[in-house]
Amino acid sequence: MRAMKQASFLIIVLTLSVLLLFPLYILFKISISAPQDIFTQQPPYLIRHFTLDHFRDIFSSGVTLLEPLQKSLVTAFLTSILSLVIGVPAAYAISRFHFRIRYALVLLIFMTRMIPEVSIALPISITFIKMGLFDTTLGLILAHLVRILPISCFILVSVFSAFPAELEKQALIDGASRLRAFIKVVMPLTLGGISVAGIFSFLLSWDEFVYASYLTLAKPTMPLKMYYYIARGDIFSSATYAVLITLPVLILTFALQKYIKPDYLTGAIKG
Amino acid sequence: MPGLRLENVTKVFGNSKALSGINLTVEEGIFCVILGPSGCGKSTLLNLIAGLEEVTEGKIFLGDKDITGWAPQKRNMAMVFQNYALYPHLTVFENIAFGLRLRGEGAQDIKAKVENVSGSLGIEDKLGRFPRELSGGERQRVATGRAIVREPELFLFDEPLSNLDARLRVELRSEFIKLHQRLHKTIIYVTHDQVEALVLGEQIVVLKEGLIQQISTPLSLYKDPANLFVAKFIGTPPMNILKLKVQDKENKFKLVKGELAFEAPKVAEKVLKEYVDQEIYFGFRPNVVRLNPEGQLQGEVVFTETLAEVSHARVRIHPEIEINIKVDEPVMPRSLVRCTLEEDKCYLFDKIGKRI
Repeated sequence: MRAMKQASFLIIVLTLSVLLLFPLYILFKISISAPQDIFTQQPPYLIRHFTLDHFRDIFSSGVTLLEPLQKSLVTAFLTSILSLVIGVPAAYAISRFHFRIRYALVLLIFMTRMIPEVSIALPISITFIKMGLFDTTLGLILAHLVRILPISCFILVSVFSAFPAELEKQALIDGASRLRAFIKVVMPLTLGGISVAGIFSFLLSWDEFVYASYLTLAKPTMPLKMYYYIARGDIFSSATYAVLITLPVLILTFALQKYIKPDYLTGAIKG
Repeated sequence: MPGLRLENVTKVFGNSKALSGINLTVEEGIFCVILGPSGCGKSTLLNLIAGLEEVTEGKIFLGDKDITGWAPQKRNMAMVFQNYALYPHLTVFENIAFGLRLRGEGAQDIKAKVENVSGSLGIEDKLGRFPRELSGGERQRVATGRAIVREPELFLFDEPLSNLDARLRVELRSEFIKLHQRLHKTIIYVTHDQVEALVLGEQIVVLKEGLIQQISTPLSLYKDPANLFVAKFIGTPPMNILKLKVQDKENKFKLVKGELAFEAPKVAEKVLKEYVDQEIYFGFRPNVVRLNPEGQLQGEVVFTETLAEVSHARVRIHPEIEINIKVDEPVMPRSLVRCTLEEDKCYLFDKIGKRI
């Protein structure tokens, strides 16, 4: 019975993984396949003719990828840091309210997301031109924060709400101020949740398109650059660009996944 | 000198009063147990003393200092929570040293103190472990060690033994007595277990629905309960409580229900005048009833419970009334027995449960 359960669970997980990863595989395959593998009636599932030509083409075409890559990385990195710097204290304070007030506040924060981005992107861009923030990294970060802060706050509020209040009270009784209790006890134990919020903010900023297209001109981000080449219609270069924009995300997620584990609080209470 | 004094402390949550008008003085060095069923406000009271909750009304004094509005970290108290609240990311050593490090004590001092305390609690070989690697009893000891090492003015324990199995509970209970004898510090200990309270407390505060029912020593709590609630709550098996009507038969008072009749205790005759023809509660402990072939009380044995040396028989003395009787030897179910009651060791309570 148990073996059956395990087996069916495994099958479900495998099926889902294949379904989710297959498009990614196709993308990756196109980026390293020779044209004769792709332009046929029945493209093979495996790579027959391996080539790095498409990558070489892109890097030797005189297209400066380094600048958009840098811009996207800096924007996403700073956005995720700022969303934590602002979000952690805010969410911590919200999580200490009575749950009804907590719910109302979270809802209020999400109100900012009710307005479609396309409709406020233009007014923002006009305001930014006046303020001298147009086509700057700082401007883009600020716009991204509008989009991302509610989500990272939402994640963080649930992280801090789930934190056992006794541990914090214990720290206060042991002589810690509220700030030190937070730094010494709450923060080390909620690092998993905090990093989830950080990774999420990074990813949302990394592939953000609407604000980037309204707020940048001479210095585009990676998604904008990619969109330009996809629109141009070359299947190989667009697949290769797609791989290039996906890789950092994969690397980051793998690097940080060790923080995302659920057993941090074992032994704190009861057991 | 009072170690802790509460003056008219009241706590209101929204619309409900968790504690009302608590007045309590605990002399310095006393082991004080706050006893009550769950939801009676005893943990709230502890949180107020610790400063984790603010009082709605009233004052709290520690020694001669008014600490009512003080933040918890300034109060110099130690608290052990029911679930121990050990820091899971720190080793046992660091858990115990946490408060000392916050105070900025030197590494040498900290090491000496932690080793000393852990030695006295028998956990000196566990210092490098993490809380998740400890058993329930060990976690309890670490939590206690963390409280002791800071040498606080006052110890607060919130049901520290309730998560342990029965044997360990008894073992650690006696360690609390030794601890108190060694430290001579004021201890406020919250529990819902009356046995724990009677064994540990020098002063017991019985709490019910946010109101103090009685403050007294364990013995007088047992012998002289202030009201029906305390009488029912203290003692195993519990006191027999009968609802009876007072009858005045030519200046001899009787307590009756149908065929059943008791003579009223002599000492109570004066007060009973006021209760003629009213219903009152009549209480007596199982150990003041003796089997006696010539006794005036008659009933049928329902069952006998035997626990090692002590047996208790449940006897039906009226179609609606069963009482517990302490017996020397188990008696057969369904057998008819007679017994006598020491009437001067009985208790009378009025309709609302006040002691008469």
